[in-house]
Amino acid sequence: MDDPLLRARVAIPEHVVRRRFAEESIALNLRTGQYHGLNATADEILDALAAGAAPEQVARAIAERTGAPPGRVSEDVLGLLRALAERELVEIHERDAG
Amino acid sequence: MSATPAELAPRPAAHPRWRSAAFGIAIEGSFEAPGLPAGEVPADAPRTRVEVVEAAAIEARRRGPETRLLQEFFGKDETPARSIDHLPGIGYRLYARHFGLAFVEEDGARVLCAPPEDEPWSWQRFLVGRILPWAAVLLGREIFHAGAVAIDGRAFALIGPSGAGKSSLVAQLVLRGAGFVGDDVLTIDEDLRAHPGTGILCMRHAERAAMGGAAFARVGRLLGDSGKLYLEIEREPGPLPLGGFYFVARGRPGEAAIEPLPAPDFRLLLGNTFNESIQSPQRLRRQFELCAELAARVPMARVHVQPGVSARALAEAVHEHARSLP
Repeated sequence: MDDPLLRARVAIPEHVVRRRFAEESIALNLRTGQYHGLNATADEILDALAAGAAPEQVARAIAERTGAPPGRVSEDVLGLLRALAERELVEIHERDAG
Repeated sequence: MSATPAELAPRPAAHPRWRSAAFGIAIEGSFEAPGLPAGEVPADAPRTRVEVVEAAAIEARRRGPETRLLQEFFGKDETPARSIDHLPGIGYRLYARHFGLAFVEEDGARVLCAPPEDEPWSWQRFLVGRILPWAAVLLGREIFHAGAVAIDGRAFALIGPSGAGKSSLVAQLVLRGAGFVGDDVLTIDEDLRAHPGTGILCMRHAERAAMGGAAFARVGRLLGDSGKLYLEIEREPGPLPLGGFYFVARGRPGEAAIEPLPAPDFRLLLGNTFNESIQSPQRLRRQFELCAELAARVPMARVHVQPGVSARALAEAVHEHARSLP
């Protein structure tokens, strides 16, 4: 799989507030007023992306830890990323060269 | 061209000017207001001034192209029973059949009411149940649909759907010596303190019948009857730390009366906040963060109202449970 999105830089914009609860985390988009629930895996992925990891790094780490096929994990991470971007919960930037 | 709120002439004041506090705000008015006894108000509380004006003065705020209809409810006869309009940058126009018109300025600092000719306790159900809480939200307060009582210096909120038995529970807890904090409108601030509402409790006739006349008379002074009974009750004088939430719901026979919620769902709180129409980013953030803090730090439990178990017995269980909470 060679999707440029795998190397993107992901940021959580200022209009998104996120809080972690016992079994999930909730992200509130202050622009739309909509709340979004994230399960533990999605929350972990978002945390890693927001900390600066590229989606391919996050997918690799999850595949190694869980033993799941790397290609499928990459697809799942990208699917989540696209869903988050569609809801304006993340901003996707090209990673600076070098 | 319509008048601005500042141009709306108030009716001549029939009562001396008074100050009171409710819902975490200081309120100033000059009309008879049962449930809002005059007294000292906290110097740092956000303030609003309530004036009674002629209906024509508020009618002048007609809907224009810039006006946004936020809510509209129709009665069985298909005429509007309630509506709320937002005039951006100016304020909110609230209408309720039988209660009249009101206008709340955009910043919540001034409220205009044009009530029908009616007893104060009657038209002020709209004032204390909708208009003042609306102003309080605009003034930066966060409000929940909850009753509350004070037990051992802490406030305990009771949340539940209409008819679940909250008011009976509040009344029975008051009879057991709890202080009255509020009925159905509860302000909780960022320090997780509960602020008293107005000193009025609304009960159904069936609740009175179940309680008995003598006990009912001990709860408070009957103000009037509009299909439901309105009682004036002495309320707690100031804010109290919040000790817990009780979610009241119909239960099944054999269920425990009280079921602690070790990992409460944030949405239980969010779903019981007041006023979903004001959705500025500041308000959304405040509401979200407060609900998250409450879910993380305040004990919560379900109260199962079971068939055959009296409100008195349930109140005893809640009272004991509340006192046992750390």
